Amino acid sequence: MHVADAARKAVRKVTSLFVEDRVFAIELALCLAFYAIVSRFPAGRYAFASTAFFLTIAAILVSSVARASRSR
Amino acid sequence: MTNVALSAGIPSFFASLVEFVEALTIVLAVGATRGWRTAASGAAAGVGLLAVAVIALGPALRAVPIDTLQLVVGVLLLFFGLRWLRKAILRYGGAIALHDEAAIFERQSAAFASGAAANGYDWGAFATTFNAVVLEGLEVVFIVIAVGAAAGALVPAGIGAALAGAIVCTAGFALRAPLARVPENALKFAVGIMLSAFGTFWTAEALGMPLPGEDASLLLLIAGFLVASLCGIAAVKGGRRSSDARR
Repeated sequence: MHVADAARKAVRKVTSLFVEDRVFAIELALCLAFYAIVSRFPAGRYAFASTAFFLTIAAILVSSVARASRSR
Repeated sequence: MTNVALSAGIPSFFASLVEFVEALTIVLAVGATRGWRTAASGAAAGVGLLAVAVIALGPALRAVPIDTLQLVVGVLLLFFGLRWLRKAILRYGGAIALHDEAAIFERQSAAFASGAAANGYDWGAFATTFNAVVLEGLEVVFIVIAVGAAAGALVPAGIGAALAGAIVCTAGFALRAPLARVPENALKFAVGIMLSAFGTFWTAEALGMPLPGEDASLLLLIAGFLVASLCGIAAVKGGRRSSDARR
């Protein structure tokens, strides 16, 4: 039981290193999945695809902090 | 020192500085209230465990193909860096309180003083410093391995972290006080931007999406994340002002 608890705590700690806000993490994961698909097409080989990738991440970041500040 | 070594060593140094300062506060609080020998032995055991993790994981990563490594590390760095950046933005915007090492030291010292062991070895104090060093150090290990492995510069990244550790330990044990004047949020903000830029760069590269300007695009990404973060701070401050006005 103690080992299971310690393992659960360790998993929670490692998860919390990367994920703090679940909505933010889901949005980011969807963004990565979308661009992983885009990059398989010829259009994904142009520089505008990576620029759009960065802009999407930046938009997710800004919307996430705005949402977090509204909820506090 | 080459650009690759610097680009791995600098984020590793500053990120480690932040984490070591946080761990030091707890070690000092335990040392001041429950004895320096127990505090130091717990911390040393934690450092030993982390060193074993680095020695075991570092060479193992060389067996992973570089494309796969860059994708995995890039995605993890994005999640990790953006988490740091998000927190720093919320702190600058006033949505959450700034990290106050002096207040944490006072609080922890009061808590540890009330739970002192009556006799025998103080395993509670040992476990507290061991946990603090391992948990804070885990982030350092991740940053060193992620930044170092994907850029093929594990040694400079490790040197950056070791240098930060040496500076924090020397200053902390010389002063016997938490390093409250280290600008923790500014460092977290800067490192968050760097790690997010590296994460975006490696993920895009691994997915096969070319970045304009190739390696120089890293600087553009850093500038882009800085602008986005400043917009985020403005959004948080604006949101707080309008909610205050409604009250």
